Amino acid sequence: MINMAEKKKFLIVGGGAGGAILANSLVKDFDVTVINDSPYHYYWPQLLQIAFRNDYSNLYRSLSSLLVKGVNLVIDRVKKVDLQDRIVTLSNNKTMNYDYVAIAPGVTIEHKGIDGNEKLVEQYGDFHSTPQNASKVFDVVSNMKKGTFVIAVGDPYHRCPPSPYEGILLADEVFRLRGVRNDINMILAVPYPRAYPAETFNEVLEPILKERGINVMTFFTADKIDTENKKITSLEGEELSYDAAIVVPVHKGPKIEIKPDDAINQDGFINADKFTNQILKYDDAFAIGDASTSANAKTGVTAHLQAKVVSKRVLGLDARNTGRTNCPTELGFEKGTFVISDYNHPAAKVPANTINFIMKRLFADAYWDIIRHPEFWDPIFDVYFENTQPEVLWKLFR
Amino acid sequence: MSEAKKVVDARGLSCPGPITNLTKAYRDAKNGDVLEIWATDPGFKSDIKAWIERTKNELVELREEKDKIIAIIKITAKK
Ligand SMILES: Cc1cc2nc3c(=O)[nH]c(=O)nc-3n(C[C@H](O)[C@H](O)[C@H](O)COP(=O)(O)OP(=O)(O)OC[C@H]3O[C@@H](n4cnc5c(N)ncnc54)[C@H](O)[C@@H]3O)c2cc1C
Repeated sequence: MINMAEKKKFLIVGGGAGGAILANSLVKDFDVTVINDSPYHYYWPQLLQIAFRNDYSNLYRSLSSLLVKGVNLVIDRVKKVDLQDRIVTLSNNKTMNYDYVAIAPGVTIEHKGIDGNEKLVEQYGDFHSTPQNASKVFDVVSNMKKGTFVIAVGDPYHRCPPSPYEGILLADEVFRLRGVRNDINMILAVPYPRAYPAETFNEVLEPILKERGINVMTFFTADKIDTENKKITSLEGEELSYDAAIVVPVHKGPKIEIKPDDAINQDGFINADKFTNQILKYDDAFAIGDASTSANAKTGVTAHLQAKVVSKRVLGLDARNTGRTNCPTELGFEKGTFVISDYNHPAAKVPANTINFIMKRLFADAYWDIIRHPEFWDPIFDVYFENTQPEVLWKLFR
Repeated sequence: MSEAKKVVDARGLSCPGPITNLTKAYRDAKNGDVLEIWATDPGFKSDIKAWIERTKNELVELREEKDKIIAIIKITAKK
């Protein structure tokens, strides 16, 4: 008990991928409290499995079951964080103070950020917002018989960079298995100069899209949707007609007031150092995961690695983010690849194969255990990340 | 509102960096605005030319300095 009183108070806003791992990694050395606005922790990659396979298995677990004994859990919405006075305000205006704070509330999906997308998502769903919207996609792909099926990116800063590609390739799989693929024209529209923005990884992905007969429209950032006439107009000034369409929605930062104002950027993301996750000059405050500008890719792996960096830094170690990404990319028909890069290396050309597909599936099944048992998984991940550094992979796959 | 000049600093970002940042600034821009993009990614030069060709905006200048590539774009083709 005396020991407990001596421990410093560590508040974590958001118990998602980043927040839960951070809490479990800190509990030995700090008095840790996680504040989450719902009793559940969602595994967002499952939205793709719902949208294209009607599989809900890994969608969520109760957050309390994922936190190590000793971590305090408060189910409430955080309204405000004052970094100057070290005060966190909850929805009922109750306040909490801290010695350290980590802010990890993820993104806010804003369908209205693209004209017409609210209406479009009601009709055809999407796989970046809610399980309900993902299930609409499943209805669409399991019933469509002919016409043009479009996935268009409206916001290049969306979660999981490879997800639109996974979406179109999994839709292709569904259409082929249903025997309707020949009657459906499939289009992927992206804001970039080529199918995949990173030139090196594009060399892996583009031939696969081609082989599967998916038409790619480049420099097309969905900007306006005319649901009446079934047309999408791009920011770049072109038009695209559809029979069914999914537009990857605009992502914004969390709906939390953060003081001082310069702690957030114009889209509401929290300004954090890309190496340390520290917010501005506040050495007791960090932002990790999708909500922070330090996440160069909005992925769970990034949130996970950033949580590890913060947990070491607050113990006085000079741990730093390397910018490592590790995005498992499902390609349909039991093939997969990974987008692996870091601050100093572009994405390696990891080939598409069945082993990589199995790796993705194994990772999804192990996810809950990975969060709950960092003491078991940390050494495994250390070995994995060490041996799959982009530098190493670049030598393997030319 | 009057025409604005805005600097888009995309240094240190390799793909998808610079074009993605430009897209974001383009969403907020209006005709007459000038965008100045700074990048270090060597692929940026060909990507920006392709972007100009597709969007029909005006490339005022594309030059390389010691530590960065600078593209100055006048927005003329926004609908
Ligand atoms: C379709 C799709 C596929 C993906 N595939 C992959 C993949 O294969 N690999 C990968 O690594 N990543 C993938 N991701 C990305 C990954 O899911 C996210 O990057 C990850 O969840 C980010 O973790 P986080 O902790 O930052 O945010 P989240 O996991 O979103 O957690 C945020 C938490 O904060 C809570 N919260 C929000 N606001 C408040 C508030 N005001 N007060 C209190 N609590 C609050 C939320 O309830 C939530 O529990 C995918 C995402 C999508 C959508």
